[in-house]
Amino acid sequence: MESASPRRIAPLAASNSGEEAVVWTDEEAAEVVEACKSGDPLAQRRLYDASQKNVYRLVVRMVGLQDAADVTQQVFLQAFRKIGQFSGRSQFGTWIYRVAVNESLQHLRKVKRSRMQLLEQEPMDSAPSGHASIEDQEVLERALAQLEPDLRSIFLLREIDGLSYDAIADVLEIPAGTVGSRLNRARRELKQYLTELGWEP
Amino acid sequence: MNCSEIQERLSSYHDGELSSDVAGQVTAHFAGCSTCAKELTSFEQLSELSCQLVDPQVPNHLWVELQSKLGGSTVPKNSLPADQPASFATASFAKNLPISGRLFALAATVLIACGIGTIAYQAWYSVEYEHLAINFANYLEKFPEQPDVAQQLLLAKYDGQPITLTEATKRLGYEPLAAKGLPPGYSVAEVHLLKMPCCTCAQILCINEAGNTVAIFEHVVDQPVWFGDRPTEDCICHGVPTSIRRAGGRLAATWKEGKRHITLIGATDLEEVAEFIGHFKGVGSG
Repeated sequence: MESASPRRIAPLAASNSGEEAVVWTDEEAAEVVEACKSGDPLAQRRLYDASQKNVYRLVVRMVGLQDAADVTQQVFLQAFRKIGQFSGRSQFGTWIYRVAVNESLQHLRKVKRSRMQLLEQEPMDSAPSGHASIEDQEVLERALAQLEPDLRSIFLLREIDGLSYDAIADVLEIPAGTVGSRLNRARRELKQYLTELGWEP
Repeated sequence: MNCSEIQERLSSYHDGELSSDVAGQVTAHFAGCSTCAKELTSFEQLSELSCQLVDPQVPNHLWVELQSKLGGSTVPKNSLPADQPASFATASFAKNLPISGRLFALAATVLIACGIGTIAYQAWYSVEYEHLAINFANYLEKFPEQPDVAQQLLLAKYDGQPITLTEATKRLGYEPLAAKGLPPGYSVAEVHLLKMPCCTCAQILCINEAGNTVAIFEHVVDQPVWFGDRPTEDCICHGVPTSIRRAGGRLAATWKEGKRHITLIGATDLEEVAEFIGHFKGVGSG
């Protein structure tokens, strides 16, 4: 009974605008993760290739474009260093999101920025044209930047990455029952910021 | 359910996370409550707006730097003497130990040797990637003016073996796209297998009727490292997401066809790139 259709993105998928998503089976993912645990550089590369876009997309909107590359690198460094702790109870895709959110929040705390710098979206030739209004995108990016990091992460995980409530709870390590109420708050605050920025649906 | 209870469940309803029973009750509420219905509409508008966001492009240099840091983190500088492996020092030390001590030292030596092996492999891999970026930068610059020289350098670095398309199919486990025909006016000049740090890839040199040479690389792993920090233009060509870089006055293009990545080097202009993308489109999906 979904009343809207957020773009669903497989947790471990190479998913960019218009690009065919490559989704691994559980067995393939487990095999690559196991190889990473033994430090296999090729397996590391495969995991990076499969999850870089999801991680970078989230990190850009969490910390801003300026710091996104450094934080994304930190996410993968931590992921490869701590992959021995990955139990396999959750999907790797969910686990790397958790590392990405935690590293982003840690970065924001470190630089003492409760609000990220306004996102300077790089021009992208592959940007969909026609229905997608550049003004709308910019306004949303600005409004997102004003949202508290905790609320921003939950909103992004749901609306941009299309995670289920169970997966979001797993990523953020919060009770599944609180996801809906936090999303309510995130959406209401975001709507308020959008209105203040002059957005009209 | 009253408005407060509905408001509490609004996101869960909007995201399809309620049971059908509870969702039915919420739906029924909207019929008689314009306030809650309006709030739901605003959530829907937010979702529609979010769908318009464009994915940021992952910087090409990210993996190269990450690889370097991964290697750097596991291989401390000067951890080993240049001319003497650590295991050698341990073996000398063992000479003065009693038998049990020697066994312990032997075990330690084996463990250290394994550790060094792993670390050395990672270090080698990291260095190989750095070399790959440098070697390919040279190749890209030389190829337009001196394709033969550029070829020889690359083949020498990566154990390039001349091979037929039929043999390449057997060795790679998939048929190179060129085996199914090139765009009109092009012919295959040479085929090589290259042993890259990532994978073995097929390289097909093609010559057109004007005598211009282009190189097609087919590989199973995307290779942004080949292009280092060169500015990339992303575009959609024949409906295919394509990355284009300038290299030595010509164009290099990378796109995905089926499960493989294709890199075209030495294209004169976008028209030539588009000709190859269009020609190969759908050929590699079988």
